[in-house]
Amino acid sequence: MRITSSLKTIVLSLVITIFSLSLVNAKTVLRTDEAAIGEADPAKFSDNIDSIIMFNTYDALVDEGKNGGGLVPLLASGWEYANATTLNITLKDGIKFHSGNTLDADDVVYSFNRLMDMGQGFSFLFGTVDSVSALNSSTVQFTTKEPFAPLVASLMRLAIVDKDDVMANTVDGNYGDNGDYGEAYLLTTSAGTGAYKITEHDPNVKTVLTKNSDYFQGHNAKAPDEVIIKYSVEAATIKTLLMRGEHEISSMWLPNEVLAALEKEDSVDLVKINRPGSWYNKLNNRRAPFDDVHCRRAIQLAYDYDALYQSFAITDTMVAGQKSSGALISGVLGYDPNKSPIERDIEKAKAELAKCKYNPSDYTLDLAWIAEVPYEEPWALQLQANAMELGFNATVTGLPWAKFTEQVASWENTPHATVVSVLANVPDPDALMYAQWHSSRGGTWMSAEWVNDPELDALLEKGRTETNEAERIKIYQAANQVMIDNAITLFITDFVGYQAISSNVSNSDTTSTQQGYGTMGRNLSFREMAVN
Amino acid sequence: MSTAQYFLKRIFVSIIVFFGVSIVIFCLARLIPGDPARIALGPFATKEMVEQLRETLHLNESIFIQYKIFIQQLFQGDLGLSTYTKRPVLTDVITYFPATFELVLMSGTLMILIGMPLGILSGKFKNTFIDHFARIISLLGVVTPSFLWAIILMLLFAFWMPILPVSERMNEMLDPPKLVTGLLLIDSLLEGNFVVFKDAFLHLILPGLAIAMPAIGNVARLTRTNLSDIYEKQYIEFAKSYSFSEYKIATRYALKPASIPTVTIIGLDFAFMLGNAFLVETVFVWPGIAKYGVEVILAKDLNGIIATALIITTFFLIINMLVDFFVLLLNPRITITD
Repeated sequence: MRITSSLKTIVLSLVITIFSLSLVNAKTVLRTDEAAIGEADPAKFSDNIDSIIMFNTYDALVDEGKNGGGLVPLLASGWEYANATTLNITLKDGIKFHSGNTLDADDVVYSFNRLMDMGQGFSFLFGTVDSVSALNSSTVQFTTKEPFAPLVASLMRLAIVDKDDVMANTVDGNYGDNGDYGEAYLLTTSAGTGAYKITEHDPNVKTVLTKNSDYFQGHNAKAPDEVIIKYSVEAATIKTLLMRGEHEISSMWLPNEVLAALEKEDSVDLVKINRPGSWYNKLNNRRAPFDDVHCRRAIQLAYDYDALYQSFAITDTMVAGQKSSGALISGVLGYDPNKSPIERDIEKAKAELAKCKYNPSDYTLDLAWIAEVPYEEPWALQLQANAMELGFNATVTGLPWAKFTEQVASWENTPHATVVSVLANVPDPDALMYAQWHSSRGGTWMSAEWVNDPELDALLEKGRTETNEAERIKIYQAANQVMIDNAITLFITDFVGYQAISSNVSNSDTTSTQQGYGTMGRNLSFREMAVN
Repeated sequence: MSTAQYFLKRIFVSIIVFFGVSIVIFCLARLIPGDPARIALGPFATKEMVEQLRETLHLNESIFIQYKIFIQQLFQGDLGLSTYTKRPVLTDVITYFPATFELVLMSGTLMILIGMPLGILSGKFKNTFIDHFARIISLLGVVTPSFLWAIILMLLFAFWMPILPVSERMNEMLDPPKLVTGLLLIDSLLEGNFVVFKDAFLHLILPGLAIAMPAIGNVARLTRTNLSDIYEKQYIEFAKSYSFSEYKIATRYALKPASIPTVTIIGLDFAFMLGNAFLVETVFVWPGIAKYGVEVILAKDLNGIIATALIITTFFLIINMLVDFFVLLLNPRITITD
């Protein structure tokens, strides 16, 4: 009897100990998904998933404040312009990399040189930077060839790497004395200061991020210990996993019918995200009949924006789009939420057409959409229907992306109109507008309009050099009005995304970090989330 | 010609086929529109970087020189750099091939374990309820594509009755076994880790069955037809008249000859599964070579495309030789002549 009792006590103690240990060791995991492939190297970050990885594993000198909070210091403690072309940035003290090394100005210089020498990712944002140097261990000086107001905003995209760690893991490569610049090393790991570090990375399968407990900004008390980002998972599978409680956050790319089904589930919430970008139907401004502003205005006024908007409907009350009021979008400097959206007016369209020097029936418009993105096709078909209302002939073609990027290299081969989406890389209007609509930039997929508008050019150039923020807002709002008045392009809608999020993830924390950013990928801040 | 000589000849022909396929794929991959270097580096990369990558990949050379370099590298065990994953293609192959191979082994096993008994029952009980039921199952298997089976099975066993796992090779909360073969079932057994073994086995069931279903239908239908034909042969009647047991007649005199065409189909289906697993791998988040193969085509990753194609080719060639070998074993009347 005594032996049985003792055994019971021992067994009970063991069970309690094991249970306690399991509680102590239990890690919270947050699982999400995105479109492949994910990059781990900060010099190669370029799209949405790369941006999510970047903002969670690396830090930049500056960050974007929530809900239009403007630019705020992150690794920097502050910045000031010594003159119009010289920017001095001071660094915060004592910030540690994942390796335990301390951040200093040499890391910033190395990160910049690495990005520019490798010539990929967001290096294009820094084309006007002449040199970067360390004035002392906590001050960095950026010198530009000409005054360049968007520089501070662009610095959001300069992920700072741990120079010593990367150099210790450098092997022979294409970059002279810098070997491979740690390219092989940073394929599967991270060397930043961010809230999470990469512990596993397969660019086609998944990335595992583990909490960096020493992060200088701290974490939500219930922030996930581990984040697993899975790549290119089928929508039906995501729906099943979410409902089984085996997935926490879906990507923004779920089809509307799946979102509509998930909306009815108690265990899943749909969270609205104002994504910083727009869908455009890019009009070729140099090819007849759209080289005549009246023909462009006619098609702009004939396009059925209500029908386009409805094509984004998930349910009667949820629409994954927002009617556009022009080039300036939510989260970007200069956006005016009270500006009226562009509307269809067929009578005015016909009146504009009457002023056009071309006879519409003489032209067959070549309208394109990107073949890899089949849900774009209805928006091209809508334009075809509206163009035919005006008397144009029109054909609709699905162009493979690779073929489109080849065709767009010359204005003669660029379609009359092409459906393309563009996301803001930084919350500055220059990044969106100069690259797309300055006359010097024709010939890229972003600038399929081949714009040649001296008034717009002048405003975009002025916006780059004006450092007063209030003045810049005026300049870009004027440029936006020129875009609309001269019907430079057709704005389909501004992006609004919906992500399905498990109710295990605290909504109050999640939604507050999901809205109001003007930078691609900035909305998923895992350290601010709470997993219950 | 002896059996050994025959197989040596087959190996020689297979090598020629291998190089023939490599030339065709090498040329076809280059017909896909778009510059592989530009696609790899993205729209914002500088022209200099794109040109540098073109040089690294030898894309500025003539196609003959490019092929020569490819073959030289191949003999050194180097499949080049993947412009899609930015790492050596050999690393990709080693990472992704075992996942698909294990899945196909599971599918092949299910194909044999379900398809043949279904065909035998159907042939044995011809025109009975059992036969009708088996034929309906077989027909459904054949006419329904694997990706649809994947969705149906997921709905049945993961959504409405959540009893089986639906994504990846094993539970992400478990620690994977030490990498030896890349096949989780074997590696977990080698480690004596039965928790992972059970979990990996459960993860294999739904994708394995989805890929196997069309092949199960094929095997069952073929086995039934052959078995029915055999049962109508005079020597079976003769055996029955001598009161041989049903079991002996079925296993010794009927099934063996009936299985010869089935073995050929099993071999071909087995090889087809490797290439056709793409959609099933996508649905079940399976990190395999079939999914990788399609991704590299979309990304115009020339080295990735040719590596994937050559792996599937090699698999086909090996399976075909194994099938011939088994057919020789099963049918001693087959003789090899010049």
